[in-house]
Amino acid sequence: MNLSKKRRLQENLGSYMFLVPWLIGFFLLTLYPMGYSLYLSFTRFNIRTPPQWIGLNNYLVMFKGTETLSRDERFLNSMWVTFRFVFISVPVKLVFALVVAMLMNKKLRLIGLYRALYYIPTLLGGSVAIAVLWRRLFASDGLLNMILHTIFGLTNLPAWISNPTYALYTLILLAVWQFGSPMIIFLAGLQQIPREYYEASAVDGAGPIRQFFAITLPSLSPIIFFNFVMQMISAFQSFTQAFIVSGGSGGPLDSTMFYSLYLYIKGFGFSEMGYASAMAWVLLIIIAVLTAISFKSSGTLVSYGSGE
Amino acid sequence: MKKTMMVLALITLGALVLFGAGTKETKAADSDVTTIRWAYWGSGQRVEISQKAIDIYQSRHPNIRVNPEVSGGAGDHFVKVDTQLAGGNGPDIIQVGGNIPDYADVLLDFFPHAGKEINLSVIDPSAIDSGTIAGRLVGISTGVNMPALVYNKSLVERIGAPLPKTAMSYAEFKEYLRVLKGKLPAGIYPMQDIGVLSSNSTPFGYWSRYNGTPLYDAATMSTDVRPADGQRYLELFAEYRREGLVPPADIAAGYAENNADTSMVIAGKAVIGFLWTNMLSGYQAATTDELAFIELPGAAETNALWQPPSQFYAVNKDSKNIAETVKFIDFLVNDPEAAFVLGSDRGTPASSTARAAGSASPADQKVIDYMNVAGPHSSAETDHVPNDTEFNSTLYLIYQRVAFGQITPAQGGQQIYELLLRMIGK
Repeated sequence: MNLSKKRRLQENLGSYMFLVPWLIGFFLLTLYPMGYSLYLSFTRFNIRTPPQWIGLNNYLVMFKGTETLSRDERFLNSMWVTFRFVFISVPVKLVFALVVAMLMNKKLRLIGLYRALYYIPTLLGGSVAIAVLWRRLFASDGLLNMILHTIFGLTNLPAWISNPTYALYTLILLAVWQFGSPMIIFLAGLQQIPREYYEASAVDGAGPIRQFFAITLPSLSPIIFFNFVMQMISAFQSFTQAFIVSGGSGGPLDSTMFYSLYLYIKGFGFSEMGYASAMAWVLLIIIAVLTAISFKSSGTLVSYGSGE
Repeated sequence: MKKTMMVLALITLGALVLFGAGTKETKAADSDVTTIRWAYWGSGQRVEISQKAIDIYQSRHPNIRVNPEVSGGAGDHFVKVDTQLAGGNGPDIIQVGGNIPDYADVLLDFFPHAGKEINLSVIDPSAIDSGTIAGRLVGISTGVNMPALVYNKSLVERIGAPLPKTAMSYAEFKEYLRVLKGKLPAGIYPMQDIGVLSSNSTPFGYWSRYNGTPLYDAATMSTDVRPADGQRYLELFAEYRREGLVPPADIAAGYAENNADTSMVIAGKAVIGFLWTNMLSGYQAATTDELAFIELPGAAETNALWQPPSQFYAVNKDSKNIAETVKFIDFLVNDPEAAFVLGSDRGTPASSTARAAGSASPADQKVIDYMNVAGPHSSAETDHVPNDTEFNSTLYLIYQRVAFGQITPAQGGQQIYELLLRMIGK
């Protein structure tokens, strides 16, 4: 008995050794900075002088204000902007990705080429160059307005990207345009659905629409759910696009002031690292809670089939 | 499957959430070569001429390598430098501006190096004063600078309008904008909307000096600006906007005005814009139209202009190569060959040996001409509002609220006043 236990330990030791580099990285580069940022979130810290403990003040300023400081309206605005961005861009992007994935699932000539082409925006979309391009497309004298003017004769067009009413939607459009990764995952999911389901239902007289709602959607529900959670998490952390498109200001009128952009401005611009750390923790909690809600509610909406 | 999915999601969540870790830059392996890291902001021409100066220095000193670390704008520059300093990895030379008091604690005192690595005797005493904080010389002035309005001279001539006078009152200035408005095609505006500047506290600061109500007095830690003053400033531009003398808010907001690349004047969409004199040569290099200067309105009435040091070369006190770094700064500010290459891009030199070198560029001549007129219309610089970045960012937001019609100028004036009190009290 004792001998086999020892042997098992010896066997496992190798695997633990393989884990060591990752574990070192995890403790030094993830766990320690996380712990430190949790500590900083209870302090006032301007980088140049040591942190001062101020208890819950940072958190109080975000949501209700303290005796000396009023509530941070810019924080609440950034939260509202981010929620709108997430809950508009993610569903639209998923619908779009699913539609394209279904087209890409057809047996056409050169289908491999099309799949590659439709993935390109995702490779480019996060880049600074595309954000700059977006700025030019939607500027007051940008390409969009030029087309609207010369082809449709419209005048008095807004400067989409620098108008507080529309600026956020241009960023949502940019996010939706990067539909590649959910599309690929949908495509893989679609190819997993047994062909017989469709053949059997066709014999029973089901049309394509009925087939979509009765077979495709339920079979795909775990994939949809996975995509939703992943896209939601990354959408909450969007930064680059807003930073470049608004010239780093989150403007006009804070209409593109994403949560993480405000965090960055607070921390690095206004030298309020304690407050920025507190914001990072609030964001972590928001994402964790929303993810938990998604998992709880998935029981009724997601079917994992009986085969597993 | 569900479990796997959950684990996957949680791992990704953990890994992605915002706690990044800094990377450490690798040090040059060569032991006999000293590397000096020089952090500054700027683009286009400044990068080119700085590199030329570096090349000259490196050819004279083969054992020195100077690595520039350039940011496009001052905002990005300080974010980067703050982060590097916090990580104990600050650059050797840090270019700082009017916010030098914020950095005094982390900067080297040059006085102990005077007469050894750096010659301070040829530098104007006023420039030495401006870099001295609490008895320590923490910054060497890169040269003198002045706020100004730049205008597109070629465009004015093309539309057949008269050239502006260098010194105008506010009433004359508005009249002139109207004249331009009458001649300009749709889509091109007489003036840029100054509130969209990333450093919009500068024109607002000028305006409050013009009114005799400086933004801040460090000795008493107070401001002379009242809500009604802020209101009048906002109303002034609201009126320009109503008349179409400056662009509508959404078009103005499309130009970040950080540098020549994001400038409405350089884009050819506005005739007049705000500019520091040292930036003329860089802006001029970005356009084929000829640019020229006029004063901010009303300067002659109250001597409201000022001549601050453009920037400072400062040294990180934790630098590992202090002696070599200070020697390189001596080269940048005093050496005639360096001065000839650098021109007035970082301000008109404060060192007599550098000034003696002269300059080849017509833009530099325009700066000198402007300073001859505007210099007498200047008075001593008033104190900077503390927490400069936050002050500018919030002032910009308040200005935009008024420009987009979200609040009235009266409410905006009140918010500016409260902002000033908050920045001073912070």
